[in-house]
Amino acid sequence: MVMKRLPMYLLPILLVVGCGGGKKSESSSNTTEQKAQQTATVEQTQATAQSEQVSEFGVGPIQEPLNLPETIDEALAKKGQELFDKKGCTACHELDKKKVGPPLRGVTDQRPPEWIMNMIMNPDEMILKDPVAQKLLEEYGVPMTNQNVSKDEARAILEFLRKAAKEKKN
Amino acid sequence: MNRRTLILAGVIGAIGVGALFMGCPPKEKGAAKTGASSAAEKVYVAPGEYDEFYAFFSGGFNGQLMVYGLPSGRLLKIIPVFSVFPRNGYGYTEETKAMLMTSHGFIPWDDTHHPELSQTNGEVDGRWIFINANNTPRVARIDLATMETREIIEIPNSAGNHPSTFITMNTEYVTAGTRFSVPIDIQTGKFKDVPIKDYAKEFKGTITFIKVNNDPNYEGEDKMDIAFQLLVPGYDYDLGHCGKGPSHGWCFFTSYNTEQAHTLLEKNASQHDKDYILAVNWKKAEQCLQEGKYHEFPAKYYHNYYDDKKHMAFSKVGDKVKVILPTECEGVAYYLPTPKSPHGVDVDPTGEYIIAGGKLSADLPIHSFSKMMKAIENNEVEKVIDGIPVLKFEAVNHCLVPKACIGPLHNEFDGKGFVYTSCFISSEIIKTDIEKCEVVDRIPVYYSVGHLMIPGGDSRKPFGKYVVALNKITKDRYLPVGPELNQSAQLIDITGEKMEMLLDFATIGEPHYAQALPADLIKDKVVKIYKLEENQHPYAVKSENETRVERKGNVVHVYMTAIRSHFNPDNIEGIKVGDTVYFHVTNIEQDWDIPHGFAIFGAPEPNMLIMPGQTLTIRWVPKEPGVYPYYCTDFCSALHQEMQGYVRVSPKGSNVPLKWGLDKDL
Repeated sequence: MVMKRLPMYLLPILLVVGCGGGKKSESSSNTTEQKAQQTATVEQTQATAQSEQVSEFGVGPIQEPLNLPETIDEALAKKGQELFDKKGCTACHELDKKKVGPPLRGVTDQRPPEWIMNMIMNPDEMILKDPVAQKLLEEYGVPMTNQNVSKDEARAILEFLRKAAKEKKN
Repeated sequence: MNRRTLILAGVIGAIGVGALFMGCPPKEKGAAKTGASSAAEKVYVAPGEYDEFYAFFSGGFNGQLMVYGLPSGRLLKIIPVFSVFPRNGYGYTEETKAMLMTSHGFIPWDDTHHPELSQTNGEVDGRWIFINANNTPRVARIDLATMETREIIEIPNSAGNHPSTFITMNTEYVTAGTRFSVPIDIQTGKFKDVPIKDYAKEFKGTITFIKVNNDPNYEGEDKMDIAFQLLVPGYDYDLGHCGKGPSHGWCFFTSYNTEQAHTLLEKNASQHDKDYILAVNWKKAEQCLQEGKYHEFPAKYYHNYYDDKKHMAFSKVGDKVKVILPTECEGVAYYLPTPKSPHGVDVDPTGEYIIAGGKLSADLPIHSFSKMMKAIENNEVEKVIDGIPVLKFEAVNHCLVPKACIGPLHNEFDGKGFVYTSCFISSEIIKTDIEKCEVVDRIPVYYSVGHLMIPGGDSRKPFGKYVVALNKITKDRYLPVGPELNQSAQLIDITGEKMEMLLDFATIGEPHYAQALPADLIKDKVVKIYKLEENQHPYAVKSENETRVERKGNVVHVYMTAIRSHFNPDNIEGIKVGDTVYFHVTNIEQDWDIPHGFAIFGAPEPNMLIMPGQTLTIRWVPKEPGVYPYYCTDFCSALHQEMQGYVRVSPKGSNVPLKWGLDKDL
């Protein structure tokens, strides 16, 4: 880690004191220097992101509370069930059995609905940044795939999962 | 960072600073960088950053089209066109075999020469790129959104399809033509069985115009169709380019072997001081077609196109073609005398100058379109050959650039009044002021340059900046790798008064011509996945609940899915010797750059690489009982190694029932 990071800190210093004088040389050093600094900033962001507190909603497009009603929107849940199949979810998930990924009946009792939608829409980033998603990856070994699910589609799938959870209780 | 690290950083920093100071050139010599360091900066594309241009290089005798980034010279992709491609199964899968069908059967290879980007109003528009097959004459269209071959049309009555593909200003037509004249039998549409020595009497050339459907609302991929062929004297028609601006409506083709030799051409076809550029007035040809001045010849030709919703190629077979005879369509074609055995013919961005590469003449011939039109008007005709008037050289020629170079072949333009010419024998690129008819700069290239390419350099709006030399001979340019070498390309900066050599990079299969366009024109339109819901493949399965195996007699269809990281089904039993098995594999991923591969033990076909949302099929005929593994060939996830399956094959007549499954015992 130490050796790997060293050049990052040194690069701007080295370049600033590089050959000056000529206009062309100067401007090109500046550009490279800026790039080096940008790269360093990106690296730092990535490093800090790991330890940064991720909200309970996870990382992704849903950052406002959904404020869902208790009742189930049956039509939406039906659409969600179709999408659950059509979007390839069934390749890894069943409701009551562990397949490749976790069984999903009752997931809405365990995780906030916002987190579930983010996990469906933005799994790549969730796996990198969200501690719960990371724990699940450790447990199951297979990262959740990104199936290009839109917000509306993810909402419908969420409704299907909410309905499935209710059915269990009943 | 702990204290020790800080000290270390300081020490290394000091050494670094020292090294840089010591390396500085003395101030009085000027701080501007010269030579290798300056060149390196101009071609350096930092990790993670993009090139400024997409460049498309023909794959030559590799039969493909290569996509490079410029200025880095990085190879980004190889697009299979006329050759089968083990990398992804093109030409091997059931879906793509039809792309390589011809009237001569399935042809797994060809020799690609001249890619040409589609244009609108003479400017590169980023829709498609065309390329020719030289050996078994065909023309292909590649879609730039998917960078995959979408259409191939065979050219009948033709051999050695070299003056191809060149397009008209709005991509109305794509050209094809005969480098090798042939004894066309107009009764059957086949080649006659005649003595070769009767060449002059029996052999004819054809120039083909392929109409392109440019309607943006037409979603079909069968966009090309043969509009007409012009029957011309049996010379070797070599290269072409079409007019633009004032010369829109015309296309120009070089010819050599006006001697009509049929043996030892290198001597016998090099007798005349001048051969001809054939100028074809295609608007006149359209008129003759309308007036019924054509013949319908029988001609069998395949027209193959790939439907990317059905994920499958289809073939149509044409049975006749319209042929125009110059004797019956006055004014459709003229010959412009041009020294000597000319190779390339290129039209400058203004559309006024028609510049040939007179390969056996050191003088570079520049013709004038306006002079040509005046010569036609004033009937300045030397003689008439088979209905084609030969215009007087002086009446059409703007100038001969004296002693330009040795072995000039091709020309490209920078849009600033200069023409850049490749010179094969003297191994150099020269820069000529067209108006002044004067060479203003020259740069040596390594070695023996064939084509050259400036981004947009044959359009009305060249993007300038670079010229690429496409060299034929590599020799000592790279580490030696045995007798067989890749070809060498060189990137040259043309922004200054003097050309500056920047970079060497290797290319595969002798690229002939190339084309390039600014990346911004297309990079945001490039397709990343195929949408699963749009997949209309008849054997697609869009969810694991639909996966199954069906037997119809001794044909077995496996409807399979692939997703990280398993196939469904991954255990299959009940296949018997004598069965033909089709594995229809749908990749149900919907994420960019997650293809899955599929390969099965002992299959003569290579693997197929299935893109997200796509369905591909491999045919498999097991010969012996046993258990055969199959697996994913493309490292798709951390559990890629687990992505495997087994097929059990039993003897013919055995009663092992057909069963399949995933995550269970059969």
